[in-house]
Amino acid sequence: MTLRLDVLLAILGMALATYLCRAGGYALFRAVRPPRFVEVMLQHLPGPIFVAYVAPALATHGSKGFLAALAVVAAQAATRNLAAAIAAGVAAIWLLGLVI
Amino acid sequence: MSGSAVVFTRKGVLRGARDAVPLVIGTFPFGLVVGVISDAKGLSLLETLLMSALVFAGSSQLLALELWTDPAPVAAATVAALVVNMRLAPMGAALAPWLDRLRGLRLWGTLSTLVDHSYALSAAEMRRGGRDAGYLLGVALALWCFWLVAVGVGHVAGAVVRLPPGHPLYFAAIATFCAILVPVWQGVRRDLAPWLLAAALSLAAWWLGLAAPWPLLAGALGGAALGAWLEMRRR
Repeated sequence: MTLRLDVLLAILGMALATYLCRAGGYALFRAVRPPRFVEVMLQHLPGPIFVAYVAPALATHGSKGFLAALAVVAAQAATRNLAAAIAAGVAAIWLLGLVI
Repeated sequence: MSGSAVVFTRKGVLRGARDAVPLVIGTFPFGLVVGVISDAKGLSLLETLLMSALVFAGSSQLLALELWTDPAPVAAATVAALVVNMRLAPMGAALAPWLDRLRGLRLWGTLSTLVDHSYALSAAEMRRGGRDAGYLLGVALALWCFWLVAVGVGHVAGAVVRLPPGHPLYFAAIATFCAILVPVWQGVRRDLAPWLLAAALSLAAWWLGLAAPWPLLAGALGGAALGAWLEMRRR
Protein backbone atom coordinates (compact mmCIF):
# COMPACT_ATOMS: atom_id res chain seq x y z
CA MET A 1 0.00 0.00 0.00
CA THR A 2 2.46 2.64 -1.12
CA LEU A 3 1.62 6.18 -2.14
CA ARG A 4 4.55 7.89 -3.84
CA LEU A 5 4.74 11.68 -4.06
CA ASP A 6 5.29 11.76 -7.84
CA VAL A 7 2.31 9.46 -8.42
CA LEU A 8 0.16 11.53 -6.07
CA LEU A 9 1.10 14.72 -7.96
CA ALA A 10 0.24 13.11 -11.30
CA ILE A 11 -3.12 11.96 -9.91
CA LEU A 12 -3.89 15.40 -8.49
CA GLY A 13 -2.92 17.04 -11.80
CA MET A 14 -5.25 14.71 -13.70
CA ALA A 15 -8.05 15.28 -11.17
CA LEU A 16 -7.71 19.05 -11.40
CA ALA A 17 -7.65 19.02 -15.22
CA THR A 18 -10.71 16.77 -15.30
CA TYR A 19 -12.63 18.96 -12.85
CA LEU A 20 -11.79 21.98 -14.98
CA CYS A 21 -13.41 20.22 -17.95
CA ARG A 22 -16.45 19.11 -15.93
CA ALA A 23 -17.20 22.46 -14.29
CA GLY A 24 -15.52 24.84 -16.75
CA GLY A 25 -18.05 24.52 -19.56
CA TYR A 26 -20.91 25.29 -17.23
CA ALA A 27 -19.04 28.07 -15.38
CA LEU A 28 -18.24 29.80 -18.66
CA PHE A 29 -21.86 29.46 -19.78
CA ARG A 30 -23.01 31.05 -16.56
CA ALA A 31 -20.53 33.93 -16.64
CA VAL A 32 -21.13 34.88 -20.27
CA ARG A 33 -24.69 34.36 -21.50
CA PRO A 34 -24.07 32.72 -24.87
CA PRO A 35 -25.81 33.81 -28.07
CA ARG A 36 -29.14 32.16 -28.88
CA PHE A 37 -27.46 29.98 -31.52
CA VAL A 38 -25.16 28.38 -28.93
CA GLU A 39 -28.09 27.71 -26.60
CA VAL A 40 -30.03 25.94 -29.37
CA MET A 41 -26.84 24.09 -30.29
CA LEU A 42 -26.50 22.73 -26.77
CA GLN A 43 -30.07 21.39 -26.98
CA HIS A 44 -29.00 19.52 -30.11
CA LEU A 45 -25.79 18.19 -28.55
CA PRO A 46 -26.83 14.80 -27.02
CA GLY A 47 -27.52 13.00 -30.32
CA PRO A 48 -24.46 14.18 -32.28
CA ILE A 49 -22.09 13.72 -29.33
CA PHE A 50 -22.96 10.04 -28.91
CA VAL A 51 -23.18 9.40 -32.65
CA ALA A 52 -19.67 10.85 -32.96
CA TYR A 53 -18.63 8.70 -29.99
CA VAL A 54 -19.82 5.39 -31.44
CA ALA A 55 -19.20 5.87 -35.19
CA PRO A 56 -15.39 5.49 -35.14
CA ALA A 57 -15.63 2.78 -32.46
CA LEU A 58 -18.04 0.80 -34.64
CA ALA A 59 -15.84 1.35 -37.69
CA THR A 60 -12.94 -0.42 -35.94
CA HIS A 61 -15.19 -3.51 -35.81
CA GLY A 62 -16.01 -3.24 -39.55
CA SER A 63 -19.39 -4.32 -40.90
CA LYS A 64 -20.17 -6.53 -37.89
CA GLY A 65 -19.85 -3.47 -35.64
CA PHE A 66 -22.59 -1.64 -37.54
CA LEU A 67 -24.78 -4.78 -37.70
CA ALA A 68 -24.44 -5.30 -33.95
CA ALA A 69 -25.30 -1.61 -33.41
CA LEU A 70 -28.52 -2.20 -35.39
CA ALA A 71 -29.31 -5.10 -33.04
CA VAL A 72 -28.78 -2.84 -30.02
CA VAL A 73 -31.04 -0.11 -31.42
CA ALA A 74 -33.76 -2.64 -32.37
CA ALA A 75 -33.62 -4.26 -28.91
CA GLN A 76 -33.76 -0.87 -27.16
CA ALA A 77 -36.68 0.32 -29.30
CA ALA A 78 -38.59 -2.95 -28.76
CA THR A 79 -37.96 -3.51 -25.03
CA ARG A 80 -37.11 0.01 -23.74
CA ASN A 81 -34.70 -1.87 -21.47
CA LEU A 82 -31.07 -0.75 -21.46
CA ALA A 83 -29.70 -4.01 -20.03
CA ALA A 84 -31.51 -6.06 -22.69
CA ALA A 85 -30.20 -3.78 -25.44
CA ILE A 86 -26.57 -4.00 -24.23
CA ALA A 87 -26.84 -7.79 -23.88
CA ALA A 88 -28.26 -7.99 -27.42
CA GLY A 89 -25.25 -6.05 -28.70
CA VAL A 90 -22.71 -8.29 -26.97
CA ALA A 91 -24.55 -11.41 -28.20
CA ALA A 92 -24.72 -10.00 -31.75
CA ILE A 93 -21.01 -9.12 -31.95
CA TRP A 94 -20.13 -12.59 -30.60
CA LEU A 95 -22.41 -14.40 -33.09
CA LEU A 96 -21.28 -12.22 -36.00
CA GLY A 97 -17.69 -12.95 -35.02
CA LEU A 98 -18.37 -16.65 -35.57
CA VAL A 99 -19.89 -16.01 -39.02
CA ILE A 100 -18.01 -13.06 -40.58
CA MET B 1 -38.79 23.97 -20.05
CA SER B 2 -39.54 26.40 -17.20
CA GLY B 3 -36.67 26.02 -14.79
CA SER B 4 -38.49 27.36 -11.74
CA ALA B 5 -39.80 23.93 -10.73
CA VAL B 6 -36.39 22.20 -10.75
CA VAL B 7 -35.69 20.45 -7.46
CA PHE B 8 -32.90 18.33 -5.97
CA THR B 9 -34.20 15.48 -3.82
CA ARG B 10 -32.99 12.22 -2.30
CA LYS B 11 -35.71 10.50 -4.33
CA GLY B 12 -34.18 11.85 -7.52
CA VAL B 13 -30.71 10.67 -6.49
CA LEU B 14 -32.04 7.17 -5.77
CA ARG B 15 -33.94 7.00 -9.06
CA GLY B 16 -30.81 8.03 -10.93
CA ALA B 17 -28.79 5.36 -9.12
CA ARG B 18 -31.37 2.72 -10.04
CA ASP B 19 -31.39 3.76 -13.70
CA ALA B 20 -27.58 3.52 -13.74
CA VAL B 21 -27.46 -0.18 -12.80
CA PRO B 22 -27.81 -1.55 -16.38
CA LEU B 23 -24.91 0.70 -17.45
CA VAL B 24 -22.60 -1.33 -15.24
CA ILE B 25 -22.53 -4.11 -17.87
CA GLY B 26 -20.75 -1.64 -20.11
CA THR B 27 -18.49 0.07 -17.57
CA PHE B 28 -17.38 -2.93 -15.48
CA PRO B 29 -15.16 -4.62 -18.11
CA PHE B 30 -13.60 -1.21 -18.81
CA GLY B 31 -12.86 -0.76 -15.10
CA LEU B 32 -11.26 -4.21 -14.98
CA VAL B 33 -8.97 -3.22 -17.85
CA VAL B 34 -7.96 0.02 -16.11
CA GLY B 35 -7.19 -1.96 -12.94
CA VAL B 36 -5.14 -4.58 -14.77
CA ILE B 37 -3.10 -1.96 -16.64
CA SER B 38 -2.55 0.12 -13.49
CA ASP B 39 -1.09 -3.01 -11.88
CA ALA B 40 1.07 -3.69 -14.93
CA LYS B 41 2.40 -0.09 -14.82
CA GLY B 42 3.47 -0.55 -11.21
CA LEU B 43 0.80 1.50 -9.43
CA SER B 44 -0.12 0.26 -5.95
CA LEU B 45 -3.74 -0.60 -5.14
CA LEU B 46 -4.02 2.61 -3.11
CA GLU B 47 -2.66 4.74 -5.96
CA THR B 48 -4.95 2.98 -8.45
CA LEU B 49 -8.07 3.53 -6.33
CA LEU B 50 -7.10 7.12 -5.58
CA MET B 51 -6.72 7.88 -9.29
CA SER B 52 -10.03 6.19 -10.11
CA ALA B 53 -11.87 7.96 -7.28
CA LEU B 54 -10.54 11.44 -8.05
CA VAL B 55 -10.31 11.36 -11.83
CA PHE B 56 -13.26 8.97 -12.51
CA ALA B 57 -12.92 9.14 -16.29
CA GLY B 58 -11.84 5.84 -17.79
CA SER B 59 -10.58 6.85 -21.20
CA SER B 60 -8.31 9.57 -19.80
CA GLN B 61 -6.99 7.15 -17.17
CA LEU B 62 -6.17 4.61 -19.89
CA LEU B 63 -4.39 7.22 -22.00
CA ALA B 64 -2.38 8.50 -19.03
CA LEU B 65 -1.41 4.94 -18.11
CA GLU B 66 -0.18 4.34 -21.67
CA LEU B 67 2.18 7.31 -21.19
CA TRP B 68 3.16 6.21 -17.66
CA THR B 69 6.82 6.27 -16.64
CA ASP B 70 8.77 6.04 -13.40
CA PRO B 71 8.89 8.71 -11.93
CA ALA B 72 5.30 9.52 -12.79
CA PRO B 73 4.78 11.87 -15.79
CA VAL B 74 2.98 14.67 -13.93
CA ALA B 75 2.71 17.12 -16.85
CA ALA B 76 1.93 14.52 -19.52
CA ALA B 77 -0.78 12.85 -17.42
CA THR B 78 -2.37 16.22 -16.65
CA VAL B 79 -2.40 17.26 -20.31
CA ALA B 80 -3.80 13.86 -21.32
CA ALA B 81 -6.66 14.26 -18.85
CA LEU B 82 -7.34 17.81 -20.07
CA VAL B 83 -7.48 16.82 -23.73
CA VAL B 84 -9.47 13.60 -23.38
CA ASN B 85 -11.99 15.08 -20.96
CA MET B 86 -12.56 18.30 -22.90
CA ARG B 87 -15.67 16.60 -24.28
CA LEU B 88 -17.28 16.98 -20.83
CA ALA B 89 -17.25 20.81 -20.97
CA PRO B 90 -20.18 21.24 -23.39
CA MET B 91 -22.13 18.58 -21.46
CA GLY B 92 -22.05 20.67 -18.29
CA ALA B 93 -23.20 23.72 -20.28
CA ALA B 94 -26.04 21.73 -21.84
CA LEU B 95 -27.34 20.76 -18.38
CA ALA B 96 -27.76 24.45 -17.45
CA PRO B 97 -31.59 24.26 -17.16
CA TRP B 98 -31.05 21.99 -14.13
CA LEU B 99 -27.72 23.30 -12.84
CA ASP B 100 -28.85 26.95 -12.85
CA ARG B 101 -31.21 26.13 -9.98
CA LEU B 102 -28.49 24.63 -7.77
CA ARG B 103 -26.10 26.40 -5.43
CA GLY B 104 -22.87 25.67 -3.57
CA LEU B 105 -21.88 22.06 -2.99
CA ARG B 106 -24.94 20.68 -4.78
CA LEU B 107 -23.88 22.52 -7.94
CA TRP B 108 -20.08 22.23 -7.88
CA GLY B 109 -20.14 18.80 -6.20
CA THR B 110 -22.59 17.36 -8.72
CA LEU B 111 -20.45 18.77 -11.54
CA SER B 112 -17.40 16.97 -10.13
CA THR B 113 -19.17 13.64 -10.82
CA LEU B 114 -20.22 14.43 -14.41
CA VAL B 115 -19.55 11.58 -16.86
CA ASP B 116 -20.83 10.69 -20.33
CA HIS B 117 -23.44 8.29 -18.98
CA SER B 118 -24.86 10.62 -16.34
CA TYR B 119 -25.10 13.36 -18.96
CA ALA B 120 -26.79 11.06 -21.47
CA LEU B 121 -29.40 9.69 -19.07
CA SER B 122 -30.05 13.17 -17.64
CA ALA B 123 -30.44 14.73 -21.09
CA ALA B 124 -33.08 12.08 -21.86
CA GLU B 125 -34.70 12.64 -18.45
CA MET B 126 -34.76 16.41 -19.01
CA ARG B 127 -36.42 15.89 -22.37
CA ARG B 128 -39.13 13.77 -20.71
CA GLY B 129 -39.85 16.77 -18.49
CA GLY B 130 -37.83 15.55 -15.49
CA ARG B 131 -37.17 18.32 -12.99
CA ASP B 132 -35.14 16.57 -10.31
CA ALA B 133 -31.46 17.46 -10.70
CA GLY B 134 -30.61 14.86 -8.03
CA TYR B 135 -31.01 12.35 -10.87
CA LEU B 136 -27.72 13.55 -12.43
CA LEU B 137 -25.82 12.97 -9.19
CA GLY B 138 -27.52 9.60 -8.56
CA VAL B 139 -26.49 8.10 -11.91
CA ALA B 140 -22.90 9.27 -11.42
CA LEU B 141 -22.60 8.13 -7.79
CA ALA B 142 -23.78 4.60 -8.62
CA LEU B 143 -21.33 4.40 -11.52
CA TRP B 144 -18.55 5.77 -9.28
CA CYS B 145 -19.09 3.00 -6.70
CA PHE B 146 -19.11 0.24 -9.33
CA TRP B 147 -16.11 1.89 -11.03
CA LEU B 148 -14.00 1.64 -7.87
CA VAL B 149 -15.04 -2.01 -7.38
CA ALA B 150 -14.22 -2.89 -11.00
CA VAL B 151 -10.83 -1.14 -10.96
CA GLY B 152 -9.99 -2.69 -7.58
CA VAL B 153 -10.91 -6.20 -8.75
CA GLY B 154 -8.88 -5.67 -11.93
CA HIS B 155 -5.84 -4.56 -9.94
CA VAL B 156 -6.03 -7.39 -7.39
CA ALA B 157 -6.79 -10.14 -9.86
CA GLY B 158 -4.16 -8.81 -12.28
CA ALA B 159 -3.54 -11.18 -15.11
CA VAL B 160 -6.28 -13.59 -14.00
CA VAL B 161 -9.14 -11.44 -15.30
CA ARG B 162 -7.31 -10.35 -18.44
CA LEU B 163 -9.89 -10.65 -21.21
CA PRO B 164 -8.26 -11.20 -24.59
CA PRO B 165 -8.37 -8.14 -26.88
CA GLY B 166 -11.47 -8.24 -29.05
CA HIS B 167 -13.50 -10.13 -26.45
CA PRO B 168 -17.24 -9.59 -27.17
CA LEU B 169 -17.73 -8.13 -23.68
CA TYR B 170 -15.77 -5.01 -24.67
CA PHE B 171 -18.56 -4.24 -27.10
CA ALA B 172 -20.85 -3.55 -24.12
CA ALA B 173 -19.33 -0.09 -23.69
CA ILE B 174 -20.14 0.94 -27.28
CA ALA B 175 -23.53 -0.82 -27.14
CA THR B 176 -24.45 1.31 -24.11
CA PHE B 177 -24.18 4.51 -26.13
CA CYS B 178 -25.97 3.03 -29.16
CA ALA B 179 -28.88 2.13 -26.87
CA ILE B 180 -28.86 5.55 -25.16
CA LEU B 181 -29.31 7.17 -28.59
CA VAL B 182 -32.77 5.59 -28.98
CA PRO B 183 -34.62 7.73 -26.39
CA VAL B 184 -32.66 10.81 -27.54
CA TRP B 185 -34.04 10.53 -31.11
CA GLN B 186 -36.85 13.04 -31.73
CA GLY B 187 -37.68 12.36 -35.36
CA VAL B 188 -36.31 12.53 -38.89
CA ARG B 189 -36.95 16.24 -39.45
CA ARG B 190 -35.03 17.38 -36.37
CA ASP B 191 -32.31 14.76 -36.02
CA LEU B 192 -31.50 12.89 -39.24
CA ALA B 193 -29.23 15.45 -40.95
CA PRO B 194 -27.34 16.51 -37.78
CA TRP B 195 -26.73 12.89 -36.76
CA LEU B 196 -25.52 11.94 -40.24
CA LEU B 197 -23.15 14.93 -40.28
CA ALA B 198 -21.87 13.98 -36.80
CA ALA B 199 -21.14 10.43 -38.00
CA ALA B 200 -19.49 11.66 -41.22
CA LEU B 201 -17.26 14.22 -39.47
CA SER B 202 -16.17 11.84 -36.72
CA LEU B 203 -15.39 9.10 -39.23
CA ALA B 204 -13.50 11.52 -41.48
CA ALA B 205 -11.41 12.76 -38.54
CA TRP B 206 -10.77 9.18 -37.46
CA TRP B 207 -9.72 8.10 -40.96
CA LEU B 208 -7.35 11.07 -41.08
CA GLY B 209 -5.70 9.55 -38.03
CA LEU B 210 -6.65 12.27 -35.53
CA ALA B 211 -6.45 11.05 -31.93
CA ALA B 212 -9.11 11.36 -29.24
CA PRO B 213 -10.96 13.59 -28.54
CA TRP B 214 -10.86 15.33 -31.96
CA PRO B 215 -13.10 12.94 -33.95
CA LEU B 216 -15.66 13.14 -31.12
CA LEU B 217 -15.52 16.93 -30.80
CA ALA B 218 -15.61 17.51 -34.57
CA GLY B 219 -18.66 15.29 -35.00
CA ALA B 220 -20.49 16.50 -31.90
CA LEU B 221 -20.02 20.22 -32.51
CA GLY B 222 -20.58 19.99 -36.27
CA GLY B 223 -23.77 17.94 -35.87
CA ALA B 224 -25.14 20.15 -33.09
CA ALA B 225 -24.37 23.30 -35.13
CA LEU B 226 -26.26 21.93 -38.12
CA GLY B 227 -29.19 20.99 -35.86
CA ALA B 228 -29.29 24.50 -34.40
CA TRP B 229 -28.96 26.14 -37.81
CA LEU B 230 -31.84 24.08 -39.25
CA GLU B 231 -34.02 24.77 -36.22
CA MET B 232 -33.45 28.53 -36.29
CA ARG B 233 -34.09 28.70 -40.04
CA ARG B 234 -37.44 26.91 -39.60
CA ARG B 235 -38.71 29.54 -37.16
